[in-house]
Amino acid sequence: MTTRTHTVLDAEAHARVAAFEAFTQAHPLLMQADTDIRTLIDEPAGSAAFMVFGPTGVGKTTLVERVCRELTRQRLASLVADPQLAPPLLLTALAPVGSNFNWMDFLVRGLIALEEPGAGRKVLTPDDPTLEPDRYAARSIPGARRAFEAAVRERRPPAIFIDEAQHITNVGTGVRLLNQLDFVKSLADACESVFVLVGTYQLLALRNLNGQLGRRCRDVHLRRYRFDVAEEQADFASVVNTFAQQLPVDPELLLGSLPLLYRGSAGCVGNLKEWLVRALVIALRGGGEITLDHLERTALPLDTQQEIASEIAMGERRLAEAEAAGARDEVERLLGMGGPADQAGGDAVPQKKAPAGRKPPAGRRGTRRPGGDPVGAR
Amino acid sequence: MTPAGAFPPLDLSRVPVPPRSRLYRLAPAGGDTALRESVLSYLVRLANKHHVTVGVLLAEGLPGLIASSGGQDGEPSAVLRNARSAMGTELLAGRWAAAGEATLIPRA
Repeated sequence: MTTRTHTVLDAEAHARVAAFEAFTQAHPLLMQADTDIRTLIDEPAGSAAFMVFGPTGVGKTTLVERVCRELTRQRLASLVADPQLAPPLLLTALAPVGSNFNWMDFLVRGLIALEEPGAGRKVLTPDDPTLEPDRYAARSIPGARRAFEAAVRERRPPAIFIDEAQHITNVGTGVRLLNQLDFVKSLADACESVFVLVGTYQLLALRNLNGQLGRRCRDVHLRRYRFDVAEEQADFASVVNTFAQQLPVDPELLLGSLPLLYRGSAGCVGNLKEWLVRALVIALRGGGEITLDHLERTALPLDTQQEIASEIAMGERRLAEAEAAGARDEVERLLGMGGPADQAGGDAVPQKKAPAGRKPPAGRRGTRRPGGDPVGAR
Repeated sequence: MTPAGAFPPLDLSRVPVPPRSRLYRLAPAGGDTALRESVLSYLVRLANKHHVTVGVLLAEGLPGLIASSGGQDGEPSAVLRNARSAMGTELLAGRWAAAGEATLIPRA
């Protein structure tokens, strides 16, 4: 989390806020996702890109920082021995100025992160060094892409994380959405590295756009704590209690306000922490402890809470649909695994049902029905 | 009230990593033979590998080389002006090789 200067506070209060902002706790959902991501990076099993998604303020950036730290620590001996190697790369996909995501800007930022000389002045160089480089291709996406791929192959970072990756989905049409994922996959292949796309549920738009790409993409869901699951509610209470121990507040007050804290944070630890920072600033300004009034005054507006809750509900519903029994039955039917159509020897192409209440047409259109025509009638 | 435990803090402090080399570790062609490539040939190949022109490589990747040739900061023209005399075994070639080595191998 970025530490900002609170100009209204004295030095001691400011240090206290900064210390709380820097505090991070090892809560169960975060640690589970940490293990899942590192397992996927260690054993990609043919996957070129992973997706890590979850609601806003759940702690995705914290998670990525943690994974990067652990990967760097594991690789430290190699990094000391070979100054050409790079630690894991953490890039941010910035929101585009116009309507489409800016890959050129992204690639140049990647080259800068890799400490490449002339990051913004790359050219297309021929394989034969006696030939002139293609200066006309300078500052073009193909030039920057070739340079980025070469730099990653040379420096071999264990993984490339793209935070706020939902901005990649900012394109005009569905076909272009598929192109975006295709670009990421081919970039990962050419770089011979693992790409990890980290973002909100908007990333689900990129998931399973087609079978060939879906096979090469796996994901990790960092979700909120659910209030209606007793075990997760208890874990959320422990999260609140852990924060309370770092704050000038009566822990009983926070634990007694659990439904309020849950609603205002949507069960997301990052949202809860930001809220508590706001309450802490007001409390320190008054020179006292955090009170219920401070919490209520610094909560997110109700319409923002509603927006966050509806985004969560939509994302979770989409994931639940993908994992539902009906989806499994459909896969089995398409694969011809024992459905009535398969026993009859039918093909696996889904057949469109006729709308209810309409009689299906008998035979081909324009073909006469069998039976004799009346004769001799005048 | 829900019973609550407490979770341990999570360490997110930065792992100190020694400075990285800006340039790739490219072996000189010709090995330890009389046909070993010249400094200029090496620079062209290195620039190609980094997808930049030699001028950009000198300005951004090898500032020490510019300084050893009497050029201003980030100004590769002094190097390019003296490039012909760096082809042999004279003083300038030695200076260039030393400046290159200092950049390419940043180990203590």
